[in-house]
Amino acid sequence: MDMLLKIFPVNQRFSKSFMTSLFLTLLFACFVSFFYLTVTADRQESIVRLCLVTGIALLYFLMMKTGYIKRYRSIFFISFSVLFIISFVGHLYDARGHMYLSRANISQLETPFCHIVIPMTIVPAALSKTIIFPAKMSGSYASIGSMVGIWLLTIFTIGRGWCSWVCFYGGLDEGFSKIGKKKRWNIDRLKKMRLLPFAVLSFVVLASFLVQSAVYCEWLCPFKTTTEYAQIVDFKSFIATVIFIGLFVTLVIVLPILTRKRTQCGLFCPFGAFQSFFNKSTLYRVQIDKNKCKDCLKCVSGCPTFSLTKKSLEKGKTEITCTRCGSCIDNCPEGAIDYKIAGVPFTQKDDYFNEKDHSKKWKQYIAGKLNEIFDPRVFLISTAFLFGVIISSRFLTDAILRISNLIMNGTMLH
Amino acid sequence: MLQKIRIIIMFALAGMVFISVPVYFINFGSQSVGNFMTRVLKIRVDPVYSGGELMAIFNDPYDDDKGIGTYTYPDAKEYSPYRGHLDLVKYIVRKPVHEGAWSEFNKFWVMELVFNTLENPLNAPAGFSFPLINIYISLDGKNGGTTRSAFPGIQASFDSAHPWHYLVTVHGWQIDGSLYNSEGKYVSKVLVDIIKKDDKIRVTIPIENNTGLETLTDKSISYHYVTVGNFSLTGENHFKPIFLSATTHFGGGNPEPECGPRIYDYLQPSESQYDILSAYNPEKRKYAVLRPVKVIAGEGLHIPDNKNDTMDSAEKTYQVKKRKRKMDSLKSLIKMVEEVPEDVDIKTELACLYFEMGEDEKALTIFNQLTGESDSDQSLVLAYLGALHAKKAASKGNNVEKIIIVKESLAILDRAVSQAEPGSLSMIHVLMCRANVFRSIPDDVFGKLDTAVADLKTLKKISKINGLKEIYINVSDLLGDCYIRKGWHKKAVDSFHDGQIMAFAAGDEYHVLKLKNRILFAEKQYLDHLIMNL
Ligand code: SF4
Ligand code: SF4
Ligand code: SF4
Repeated sequence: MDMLLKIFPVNQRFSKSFMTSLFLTLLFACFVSFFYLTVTADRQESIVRLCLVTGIALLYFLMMKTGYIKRYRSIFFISFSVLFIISFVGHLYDARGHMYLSRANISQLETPFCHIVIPMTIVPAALSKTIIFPAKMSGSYASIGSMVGIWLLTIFTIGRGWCSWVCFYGGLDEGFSKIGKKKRWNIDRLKKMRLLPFAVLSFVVLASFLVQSAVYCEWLCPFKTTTEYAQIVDFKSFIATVIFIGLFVTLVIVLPILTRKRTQCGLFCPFGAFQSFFNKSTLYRVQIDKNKCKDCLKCVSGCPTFSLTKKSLEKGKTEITCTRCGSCIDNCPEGAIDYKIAGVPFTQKDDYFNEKDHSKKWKQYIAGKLNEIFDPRVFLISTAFLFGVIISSRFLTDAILRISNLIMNGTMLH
Repeated sequence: MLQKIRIIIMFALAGMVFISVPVYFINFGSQSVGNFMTRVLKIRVDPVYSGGELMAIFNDPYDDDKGIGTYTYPDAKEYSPYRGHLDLVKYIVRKPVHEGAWSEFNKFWVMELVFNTLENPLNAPAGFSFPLINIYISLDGKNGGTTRSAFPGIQASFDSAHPWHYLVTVHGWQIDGSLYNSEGKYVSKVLVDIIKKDDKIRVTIPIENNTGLETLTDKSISYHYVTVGNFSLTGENHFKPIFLSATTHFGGGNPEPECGPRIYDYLQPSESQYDILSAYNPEKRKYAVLRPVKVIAGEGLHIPDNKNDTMDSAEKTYQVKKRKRKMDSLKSLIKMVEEVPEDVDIKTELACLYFEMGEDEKALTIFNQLTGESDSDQSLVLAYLGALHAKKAASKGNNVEKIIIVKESLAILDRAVSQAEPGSLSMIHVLMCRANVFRSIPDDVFGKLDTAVADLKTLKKISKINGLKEIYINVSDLLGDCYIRKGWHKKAVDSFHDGQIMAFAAGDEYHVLKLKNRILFAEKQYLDHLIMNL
């Protein structure tokens, strides 16, 4: 038991009973299974899918049972990014035989459209009804319609929770930020850095509007290094390549290792900044109970995206850039931070069903269970995790099949 | 109390938010958003990425890669199937772009050439082996220009009413093409891209200052002479000579090798290509005078709807005949089953016929009886059961149920295919069942269109080898349909064309006519698709 507790430490304040955790997990697994197991598949693929469902359910169970979030979320989030790259690049090789985007691919509008492009395309789309990006309007998972639809869904479900639970790039940044044992560079003191992504956002939106092309994607996006990039055919494309690879190495690898922060997501990504505005359009918040807070600032130093400051602690709220990652909740030794549903009183939580007021034992039991279930964290974690799981389902399965193909047949291609 | 209500409402909302996530993905929200954006909001991708808005489209007849009407390809096996490699079927001109994005040139002008088939058996670096393309462009209202060819070899001259100012040459043995002026001086490189799935060559001409091209606008009028010759490394300016009779390396059918134009296909204006190209005079050593097409915004963009009145009646006659044939077979099969009830083959045949005629209940009953019968072909039974199961999905109102049913039937069909004996006759039925189901379910949800295409291709092969003409014609039709859905209009046209040829050979007038309409439809779809993407 001690051994188990060591591997899976429990946060007594937030931990749920075994039965409740199991019940919630089974319910969650039903939803996940629908997306994983009702697909026709050969035997090998079925086994992979079954393992994935089990793994996902286990992570969910641990989040509920141990009361800790970030560790189990990270496992999913980072694996998703890595497997996404394997699957995506494999797919590119299958379809075109190379990773780069040729002129012909661009002219055939075969560039996958990712969420980061959205803020740059809105103004031109509104003014001239044109999308300034060479992708297909609909018909594939990486089409404009598909990505815009997913983004619209985030607006009223998880907001910037996208950046800790769903984004297929963010896990890389997070992964590298976990590599360094200690902070070699305490970047927290540079307080205003937090505003950088908003500057980048303003710049790329304006510049894209002026030149009528998504400049971030053409010149800056670090993640092109791991997915696809325009073929180097002239000096201009060479310079663009140097820039995005440089940014990848700096922002996604080196700085996260040195600072243990998600520097790409916290200091650069324009979509992150853009999505921050939609944190308020969702039901969820991360709230700090000022009465419990002892000002130790562990939450501030542990926040990977610079979303907590002393000032925000005083207000009892996070900055708008919060990605609902759960680190601060896990880090706070006083249990002063937790998720909250807007409009539901924060301090009264844990006892909406007045457990102690009931005279009969069974009524107390049911009220206790209902209190455990009707907990904002259950709702947020389930929504955000399910979102991530659905978006990842194709990629995870495909990547694992590719890896097993590599081991057995020496090739990653289908 | 009020607070309690508020808490309940907020939790209920949170529950709805949670549920909205899976529901959105089950109901294919993404596809609907895309359609809403294009159809209702009328949002489109900036045309500069695809080379600029469409300006003009010219169709050139299929199978006219015969020069003056008699030219043939060289006999070398690389040219097999000895048609199509030099057959230009479409010429597309886009509007000049003055503010490019994601491109090497800031200002450019794009032309696209679609070929009957674009192959690269000789591994040429640009991705195609045979065509030598020369586009001579005459700009309306511009002084100068010439009526002589920039380089000897082509053995043709140009209309004096439209002296040309620029020549674009492109072939597969050089990554970039070249732009020359009327004095034959090199002006700049021209970008060449291959879009294999459409058999298309895309040519991007830079618009540089002081060349005269910089004044081009959407409204400019120009005249284009588009010629396709056969590339030769050693030929005079790369034109491969064409002799009286073909040899391994040279084409034949040219009675005047010294004077006949070395042009296999010419983008014909209103006059016929054969008339234009054969109007040379060997005695006076006068070359044929080429006439250009007039490129003006809007040209060819509106193909009229091909509503063929006779089609309706032909269709009716065909369907009536087919139904009658089936009724006759049905009668005799029922009688045979009554006489020899233990014959599982006849029973299977009867069940298949019921299925074809839409009598699903009756078919299902017989197939259920046949399940597990050791004498009957179980792969066939499974395949039809799978197809019948899939049909049930249509009657369900709810998407979740529909998906579950379709997925079950997909599994059954996959099992049927894995059990069928390769090359056997039942394989044809099994593949047909699977392809029919796979092609009729939404591809963005189930992702089975590729498998349907593969199945239909296999069927096409099997039916060709076994001389099963009717199946070949049907399969070509279905395959073309799948290609259209994949956006491969060029391939679709080819498939319909194959079916049409077979129908012609089989004397099946109905399908000749039907497939002709399908070809026109595919071409129209292609246009719509181009316009939609702009
Ligand atoms: S900040 Fe950008 S890259 Fe990072 S997780 Fe969010 S969207 Fe993805
Ligand atoms: S404030 Fe907390 S939940 Fe938000 S990003 Fe920072 S650590 Fe994560
Ligand atoms: S970790 Fe908890 S106690 Fe410490 S400052 Fe943050 S909220 Fe306050």
